[in-house]
Amino acid sequence: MRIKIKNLSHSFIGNDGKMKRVLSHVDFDDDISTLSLIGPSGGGKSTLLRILGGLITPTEGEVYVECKSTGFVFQQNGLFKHWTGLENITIPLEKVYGYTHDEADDRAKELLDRFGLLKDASKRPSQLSGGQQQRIAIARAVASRPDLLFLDEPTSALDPEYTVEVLDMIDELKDEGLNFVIVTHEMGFAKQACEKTGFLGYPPNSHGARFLEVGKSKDVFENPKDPLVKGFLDKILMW
Amino acid sequence: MVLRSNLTKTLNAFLASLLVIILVWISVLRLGVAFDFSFVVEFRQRIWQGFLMTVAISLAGFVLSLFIGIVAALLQNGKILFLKYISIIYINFIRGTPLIMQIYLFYYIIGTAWGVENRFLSGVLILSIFEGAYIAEIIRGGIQGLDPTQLEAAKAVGFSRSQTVKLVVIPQLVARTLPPLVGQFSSIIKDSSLLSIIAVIELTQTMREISALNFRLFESYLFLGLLYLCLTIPLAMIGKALERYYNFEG
Repeated sequence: MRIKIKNLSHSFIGNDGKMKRVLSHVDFDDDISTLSLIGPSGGGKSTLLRILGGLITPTEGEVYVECKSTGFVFQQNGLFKHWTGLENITIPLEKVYGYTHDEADDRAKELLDRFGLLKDASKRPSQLSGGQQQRIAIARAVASRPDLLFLDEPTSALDPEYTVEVLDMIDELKDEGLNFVIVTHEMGFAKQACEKTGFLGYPPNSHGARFLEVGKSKDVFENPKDPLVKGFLDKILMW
Repeated sequence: MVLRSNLTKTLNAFLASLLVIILVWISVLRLGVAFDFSFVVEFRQRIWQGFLMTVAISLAGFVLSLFIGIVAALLQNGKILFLKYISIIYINFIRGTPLIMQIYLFYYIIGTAWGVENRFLSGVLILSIFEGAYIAEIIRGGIQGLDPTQLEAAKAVGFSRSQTVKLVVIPQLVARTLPPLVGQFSSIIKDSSLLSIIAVIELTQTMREISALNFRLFESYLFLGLLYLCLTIPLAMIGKALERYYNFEG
């Protein structure tokens, strides 16, 4: 699946009322099946993911993603709070994808059953654990069978035990051929489960992040060429 | 949190009620009045009419103030600066001054300058202008409390703008604002009693007139209180029930 990013920059108005540039002249052109975006906090990973997912329009530059439909999973609170887990999946299928109520119900229950979530289907998000919420959010995002899934730090608000169950689910979907782009701090997952990895960071004397290194995950983690990437990975992989 | 048994709860509720009743009873004894509620039967027609008038004014006031409140909240959140400031001036003036002053002031403006002779109509207008400012704050709080991620999620699942408003924004706004709005309705019922000063013949004014005839001040106001409680206690219970029903913020 081709993703092309050409001279992309993005700024927004920060809390202090000043314009803040997060991405500066980002370029990318590659075929990917699974891609992880890693890098320091505030490095524009989530912003880039939102741009790729069509949730925000970049200030400058062009983005091209070769797919018909996408799904998106947020860090937290992405499920609609006033609906049950089941409704979170069925209502978008009915309202956006034109499923009948029964078709949507069947599809949702099939997914929830597969991931052991059926017994919690009638609960609202506030009654579910963070891990259950994220797995239902992933089920919702894949329910319409999108070509590509975007995941924005899907486990960073979770306890370790829940993190594992969410990452397992993503890995299982990957084995069935799901393509995804994930922003993550789980370096083990990025290295082992993602075909490619892109490191977003601030080059010296720059006012916005861009890709410092992109390549096969194994290469990026084991032989980073960029000194900033190497420094970052050495530091965080020390423990 | 300490879990208490139902028995302990009932016992304490009983003791608290008993204390209140004893205190009232002692006060009554000290006043040296003998209870005589026979006027209630005698004036039942007038009391009933006053009661209905209070209900009518409150209902009309609630509907109109809800409309004013929504408009004011939208203007305050809106992009047109001129209208935004009008809304801010309105809300701050109303919330910063007492209702009784506004009743006198607006009664002159609405009644005399604009020629609204009907007391019911001017009463409803004055009350709605007052309560609208409070409702605007409730709505504004509800809008501000909407989680931006919920709106992003609506975009991510592919909802159109109108679907987002219909399926996500309004249901969540209703859930957040309905319990406090019920509380505000209760306030409207109580605040409507102040309209008695411009001689709107609602419940309080009716009781004032009756007590002026028979000098049964104590019983009149006690009974008046009971009648207001008949309206406000069920509302408080509805408000609590709604709060529980909509408790999904977590």
